[in-house]
Order: sequence, then C-alpha cells, then structure tokens
Amino acid sequence: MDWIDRTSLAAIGILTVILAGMLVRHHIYASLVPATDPSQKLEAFYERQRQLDENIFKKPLSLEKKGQYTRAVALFKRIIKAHPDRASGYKYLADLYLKTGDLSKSIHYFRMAVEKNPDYVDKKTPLYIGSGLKTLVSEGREKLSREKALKPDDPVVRQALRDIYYLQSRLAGGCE
Amino acid sequence: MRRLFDLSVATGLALGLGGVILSYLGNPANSGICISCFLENIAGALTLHHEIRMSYIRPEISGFILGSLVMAVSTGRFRVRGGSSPAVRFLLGFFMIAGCAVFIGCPVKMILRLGAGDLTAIPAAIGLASGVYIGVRYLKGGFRPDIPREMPGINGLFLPAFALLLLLFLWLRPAFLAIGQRGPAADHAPILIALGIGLGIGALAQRSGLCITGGIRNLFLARDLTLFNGIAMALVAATGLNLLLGSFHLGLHAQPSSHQAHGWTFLAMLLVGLSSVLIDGCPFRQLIKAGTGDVDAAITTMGMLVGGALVFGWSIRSTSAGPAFGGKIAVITGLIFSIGVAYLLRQKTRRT
Repeated sequence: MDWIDRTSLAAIGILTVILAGMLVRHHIYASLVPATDPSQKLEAFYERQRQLDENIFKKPLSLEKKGQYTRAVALFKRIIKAHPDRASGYKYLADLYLKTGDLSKSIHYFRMAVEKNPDYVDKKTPLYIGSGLKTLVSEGREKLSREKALKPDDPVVRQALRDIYYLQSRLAGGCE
Repeated sequence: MRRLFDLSVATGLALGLGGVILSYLGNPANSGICISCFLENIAGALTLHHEIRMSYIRPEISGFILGSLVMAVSTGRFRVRGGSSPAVRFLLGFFMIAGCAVFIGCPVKMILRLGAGDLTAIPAAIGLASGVYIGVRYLKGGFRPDIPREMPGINGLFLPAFALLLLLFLWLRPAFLAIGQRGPAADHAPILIALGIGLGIGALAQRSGLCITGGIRNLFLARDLTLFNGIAMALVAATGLNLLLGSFHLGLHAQPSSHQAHGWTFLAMLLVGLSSVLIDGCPFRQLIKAGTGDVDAAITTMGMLVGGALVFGWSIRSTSAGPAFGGKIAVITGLIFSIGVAYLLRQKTRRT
C-alpha cells in the first residue's frame, strides 16, 4: 500500500463519516418538525378542487336544479370548452344526461371524466363513483348489446359500447 | 438436467403463486409482479416522470436483484463480466419497456393476466412467441453479439447497490422521493412480504435460469422444454390460485389494465420477444442476471428504467382506450431498431 492508496482510503473514510453525520443530523432535525400527514394534504387538495368546481359550474348546476336541462347542458358545454381539463364538467354533464335518459351520451361523458381524472374510479379518493358506475355500465351494456343486435352498423351504439368497455376496464383496476 | 427441470418448475410455481398473492395482498389487480409497471413506478418515485399515480418504490424489484445476488455469491456463480454492445443493450432495454407499456405489462404480467382469464393477453402471447421465433431465426442465421469479457468486481456490484439504495429510500423516505397516495402507486402489498417474495423468487430464478422468452427460445431452438415447463407451471399456478381466490374472470372485456387494440398488443409483444432474444433475456431475466454480476444486464436494466420514465414523459404507452400515438411510433421504431441490430450483428458464413 503506497501513499496514494493510504490517502485515498483516508479520504473515503473521512468523507463517509461526514456524510453519515450530515444524514443523521438531517434526520434528527426532520424528526423534530411535525410531519404533514399526506392524507390530510390530499384531503385539503380535494376540498380546494371541490370549491373551485362549485365556482366554475355554479350557473349550470343551479339551472339543473331548477329543471332547465337544455339550458344547463348548453352552459356546461360552453364552460367545458373553456376548461377542457376540468374532469368534473364531464361528470356533471354525464349525470345530467343520465337524468334526462340519454344513456349513450351519459356513458360517453362518464368515460371522458374518468379519462381526465382516474380518481373517479379510485376507491381511495373521495371522488370515487365506481359503485354507481358499475351498475350503470352493466345495465348499459345489456341494453346496448340488444341495440347492437338490431342495428349492427349504428356508429352511436358502437361508440357507446366502446365507452362501456373502456369504463369496465378502468373499473377493474390494474396498473394504469 | 433433472434438477434444473425441477428448479425451473419450482421457480414457475413461485412466480405464479407470488404474483397472485401479491395482488391479493394489495398490489394492483393482475399486476402482482410486473417488471415494466414496477420500473415505471420506481422511475416516478425518483421523479424521473411526474405521474404521481404511478410513483412508488416497489421492493419486489430490489428483492429480485438481491435474491439473485445472494444465491449467486453463495453458490460461487457471481462473475463480473460485460462489455458486449452496451449502448445497443441500453436501447433495446428501453424499447423492451416501450413494447411492454403498449401492451400494459411485461411477459410475467402477461402470464398473470392469462392466469386471471384475461383473453386480451392471448394476442400478446402469440406476439411474444412470434418475436422470439424471429429472434431464433436470426440466431440460427448467424446473429452473434460481441462476447462479454471479465471486468473489475466493482462493476458487478453497481445494480445490487442501486437495489439496496432503493430499499433505503423506501425506508427513510427522503424529501425528493415522490410516493403516490392514490392510483396504482397506493396499491401495494406490505413491504416486508413483497421484499420476501422478491428475494425468494430472485434466488430461485438465479439457480433455475427461468426466463419467459428464454423458455420459448429454447423450445424453438433446441426443442428443450426445461424452462418452458417453468412458464407453464407459472400459468397453471396463477390460474389455480385465481380460481381459488375468486379473481379469475374469463373474458375480453372488464379486464384490469387492458385494451382492445389487439393488433398493437401483438406488435408490441413481438418487439419484446425479438429484443429479448437479442439481449438474451426478458425484463425479469435481466434483473436476475444483473444480480449475478452481469454488467450488460445492469446496463439493460438502466435502459429499462429510462424507458419506464419516458413512457410517461413521451406518452409512449397504452391506456384502456388503446395505445397512444407515441406508443405506436415507439413500437415501430423499436422493431426497426431491433431488426437493424440483428442484421448488423450477423456473422454470415463466408463461402470460399
């Protein structure tokens, strides 16, 4: 072992001790600061989003409450155009179409809502609507399969079935 | 030979049962073990991509590498070698993960999906076998990557050290680490159980040499069923346990992380099959080899990790809606690259 070896080993030893000291010190300081619970942070995030949605979709939601569905649909669509990444708009619209009995449109907008925000099919989030969606999808699949047998080339029915398959796959979970 | 046969069947059994048990204990459905998904998760946790729903350090990956290392060291099989076309291997590792992302799963997950009754994995199996078959044609036609050479020991410890570091991160949770609280990232089995299963499977796989594409390759190349029996056992075990646990759902629809673009599934797994033959092992096998001191496999694994990050960054993957445009481009580019590599590294017999 020559002097270069000895110096190298000494340098490694000293640096390792310094590194360990820094890490331990950092760890001790970090443990003194009260840690934020990630679930609390997440709850606050969802609350902020909920308030934001209420503000953005206030008007069409109030129209819907008054039973003015056609005007509400038009307004929802206008707001969605301005905020295309807000998944809640698609979900509100899907709910509204379901209320008015337009199954294929409702399923389509549910699909868009889930595509924009998978939290809707995530049991661990407060946005989860999976149970209701499962029922809707299984009922819709039966109905649309019958319609497909009658009108095999109808593009609306085919698209609705594709939307259902998408939702079924998302509802099944997995790594996506 | 008899012992190897038994070991590969035992490894297949562990892989099939382990995959289903891990899903049962919390891992995402049909993704109890998925090398590509897990590497995507790790890439996210290290903030190499920003999809928080896919960000978690999967201890199974560290388990596979370290289990293999322990077994290799204890049986005197730890040999540090490498230097065989590292850049090519890195890129093939990347494309392998791109192919997996378009199918939504690696070859191991393909077995688990089949074992859960997911019929959309059938085109994947046909694609994988076709890719392996094409690879075997290239092997028979003179494809020879340059021969690896012995290297200084420190090179072989690089990936096992990385695996240990990941476990340390999982334990200490440093501030820069991103761990998702929702989505697949939040679906995970208890850490110690996941690590234990990973270690056990890693050790067994090191001894048996089990590899999904390797088993198919040996069948095509030499009619050797040794490894293929392990794959068959993994499928039988996964199917049996899924039936027992009520998680077997036969069908094309309502399958977790699946899509209906069967043509792209076929092509994506064809890419995985072909590239796996060219670099001698599926993504799972690369991890196991990396644990035995194979520096080339370690470099491939790094390529796979980069792939795991870029499938999100560049959107080269599939969702339940089908493959994104970037995913389709990546599959075709990967096939061009793989065929190009196979073509360029052929050593044709010269006629005199």
